[in-house]
Amino acid sequence: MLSEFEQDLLKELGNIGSGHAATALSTLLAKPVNITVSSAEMEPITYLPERVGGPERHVASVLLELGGDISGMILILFPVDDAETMVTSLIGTPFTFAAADELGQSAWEEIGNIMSGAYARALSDWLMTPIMIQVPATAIDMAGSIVEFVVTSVQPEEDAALYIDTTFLIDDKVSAGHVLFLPTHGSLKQIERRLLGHG
Amino acid sequence: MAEVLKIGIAEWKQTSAPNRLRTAGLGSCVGVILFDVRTQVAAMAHVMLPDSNIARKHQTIEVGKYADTAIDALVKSLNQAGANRLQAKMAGGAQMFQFKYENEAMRIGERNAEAIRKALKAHRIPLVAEDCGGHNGRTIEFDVATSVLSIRTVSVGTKEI
Repeated sequence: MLSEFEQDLLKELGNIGSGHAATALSTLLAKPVNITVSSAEMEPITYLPERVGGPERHVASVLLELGGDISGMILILFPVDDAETMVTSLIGTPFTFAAADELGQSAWEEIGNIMSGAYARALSDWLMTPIMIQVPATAIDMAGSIVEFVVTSVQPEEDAALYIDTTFLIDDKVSAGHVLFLPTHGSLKQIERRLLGHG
Repeated sequence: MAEVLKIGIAEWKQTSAPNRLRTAGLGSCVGVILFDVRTQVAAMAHVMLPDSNIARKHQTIEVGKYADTAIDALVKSLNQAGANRLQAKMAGGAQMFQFKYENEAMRIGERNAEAIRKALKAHRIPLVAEDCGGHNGRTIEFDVATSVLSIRTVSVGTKEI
């Protein structure tokens, strides 16, 4: 369990990361993008799929692995419809993932790249530590399968996972999009130390 | 009335015909079913990790979470229910994301499936059908009365094994 103080700290971290991701998305789409950080919690892994809209929800996702002092993953999930709308407005022609359209597919990868990169940079700046990132990977599939894979890769020994959740408003429409930051257990300690150390 | 019992991540449940066992959104996890055709009982586990040795020492182990403890628990429970000729089916163990540089943690799906095969062998339980690996998430449902396992994926649709 996290104390209220720890939750506030992590929510703030989520705010800053997602804020930068939202700004990047807004610039890319030339549309207003707002965010709300809804939670920073330790959640039993069994409940996580429900938190992102149910295990079978069809989503488009981008996963970025973080290394260095702060290790973990940033996972961006959007309902497939919302992701297709974003790509369509970016490339200017109707796009669906099912159509295997290479231009659209790479546009989606670019959206994920820019958003997750902005999030990671914000974390790095705020925590004053370098964070190493690689090229993110994408998957279009069931939300439960994606979340489960990520939790297993990041925090295999834990029965609960820390995640910081953000909801997006694009063009004043609420999207059931989520950005989850999952630090490894060791990194959570590191984050707290750094945040407390720098007031 | 036939019921559908839902199994969450790291859980396991047992039931008998005409009920069904279901688990949704398998990624790297593996859904494994042990069943006895004669007594019409079956149990399903949603296995997350290959080996309970990685659990922290002080931790109470969730038996459904690990391949080794899950198979032990299923066998014991089904035997108590009168089953004596167990067979197994399983599905899952996908690699959901493809990174340029993969580390060991990301091959967990493959290792889960392998650990289950090994545990089944140790108990001398035949694995009669499986659908493991690939890059797709799966939702599975097992019908105890017919021993048919339905597997649904987003991209391929539904198939039965």
